[in-house]
Amino acid sequence: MVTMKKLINVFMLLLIISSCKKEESSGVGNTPLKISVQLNNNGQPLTTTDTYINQSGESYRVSVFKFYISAIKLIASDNTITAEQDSYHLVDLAKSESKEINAGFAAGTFNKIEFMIGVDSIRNVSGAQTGALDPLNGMFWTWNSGYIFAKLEGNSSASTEVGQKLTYHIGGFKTGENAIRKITLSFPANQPVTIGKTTLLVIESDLSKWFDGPQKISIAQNPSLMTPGGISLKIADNYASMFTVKQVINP
Amino acid sequence: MKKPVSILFLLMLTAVLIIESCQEKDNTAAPVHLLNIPVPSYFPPIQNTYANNPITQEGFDLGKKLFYDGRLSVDGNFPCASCHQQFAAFSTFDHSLSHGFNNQFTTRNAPGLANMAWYKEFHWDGGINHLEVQPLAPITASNEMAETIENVIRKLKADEQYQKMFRAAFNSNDITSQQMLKALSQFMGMMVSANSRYDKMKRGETSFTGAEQRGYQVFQAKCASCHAEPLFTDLSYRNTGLAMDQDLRDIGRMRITKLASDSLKFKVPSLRNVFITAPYGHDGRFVSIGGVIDHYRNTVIPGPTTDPILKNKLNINDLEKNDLIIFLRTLTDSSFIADKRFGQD
Repeated sequence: MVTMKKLINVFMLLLIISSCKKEESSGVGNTPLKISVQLNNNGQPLTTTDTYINQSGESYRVSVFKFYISAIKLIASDNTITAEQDSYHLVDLAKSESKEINAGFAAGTFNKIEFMIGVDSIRNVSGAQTGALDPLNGMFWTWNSGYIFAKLEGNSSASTEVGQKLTYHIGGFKTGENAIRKITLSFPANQPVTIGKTTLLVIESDLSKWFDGPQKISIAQNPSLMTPGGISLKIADNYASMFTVKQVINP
Repeated sequence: MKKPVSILFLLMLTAVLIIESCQEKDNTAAPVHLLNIPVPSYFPPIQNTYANNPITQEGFDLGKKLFYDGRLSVDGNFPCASCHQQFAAFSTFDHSLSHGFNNQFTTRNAPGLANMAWYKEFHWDGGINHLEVQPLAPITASNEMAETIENVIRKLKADEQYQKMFRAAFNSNDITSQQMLKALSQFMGMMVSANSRYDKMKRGETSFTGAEQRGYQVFQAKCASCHAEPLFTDLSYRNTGLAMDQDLRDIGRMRITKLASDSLKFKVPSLRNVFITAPYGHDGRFVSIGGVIDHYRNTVIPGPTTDPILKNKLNINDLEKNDLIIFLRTLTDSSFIADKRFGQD
């Protein structure tokens, strides 16, 4: 009977543990990593007061700049992956706290980071969301349901719009208009990210790439982009190229 | 006898531990009262709109208060109910186009609201992909309620009654746009219209008159391929051969899909309560049902995207037209438009 009781005890213990497990499969964890996103333009900190010139010779100023970073993952040399759960972050030039992302990962040492610019299609079709995806953040198309993944507003002497406005609202998740872009960046060879040890990962975003990335975008030809598809996909290709790892700070 | 007792005790302790360990801790949890959308036996299953939003009496009550609250608009004058009037089966009575903030007209006819739980897409062009996010469009449109979501939430947070009602519905001390939208979705989802004379006939509670029956047969032969029973729409988008309004220049579904093949297509509207939702058409250009039927008989423009069913017009003679109109009257649900659950308190 003693072994019987022991068996029951072990069984119950297992039951208790298993009943509350919240998908603690490998790759998920709560150890924080601070990721600082530096918003620059051609190596200089992005401001709403400076005037910039793109490679087409068009000058422009920026009043609004924000974009979604989502589905952040870290990848080790043996391809082990740790993914942040419920990973949606809105980086906003106007909100300094939004540029400091605190993400949770499983322990390990990783040499690559992967993330998406945009919001996965499921969240685009699943009704009202909250947190970073709250529509009050002004990143949701109300007339054609779906998230604006990245927003650049300002003005430019090259713009033919009223008030010389420059308005790029980039998004789209449907086939043929998918502006979600996956970005993979390697850490410097001698500076891996060790969860629990690394204190800060600095990633730079270079806005100039919106015009001068793999695709050349002229403001005169495209002063306003506010629907999914078309030229917006070229901007998406461009914003996919705007990130670099600047620094991994290990103690 | 001792051992079974200790094992029983152990079992109970375990059960308590399991329940304890898994519960999301919240001691203020007040009981909510679950509601079910009444699905008539001859209706298809509802969409999965409510998979993450169980309908409760508390959520429904909150949704109703929001639906009738002008504070959701910038100047306080335009609640949802200003364009969705219960006596007009939640369309705008006698208006081809509704008007919103600052005496501005909208660009499309406000449809009646009923049986929303069976719909997957909303608006004449189907641009809205979930009932929960539909209210964002009228609230923020500059010619409708003209307000920002941020301001709406600020106003709701400052109101003690709302604080109480949000807490009761969502068991949280915060008020978010997600909760507001889920509450509105709960209220609208409960608005089921299935008690018209047609429905009573379907349920065997009454039988049609001769003219109604003849009209029903005309309907089934000439109209039901698009206005499919029992929702009286197949929820597809079609070009009914209307000339484009040169001021509105509305391309319909193509605005959403950008496909030339969707040019001038609009959602097939439900015919439920059709007699009390005049005027008709996406821009409300028809003042009467007879006018709509006459269009199908006489004035369909056979454009490149005009529906093949309509390209050669509909062959409906005057007698059939009269019977058809008599049948369409059987779709008026007078208990729905008088239902106090959906009316302003």
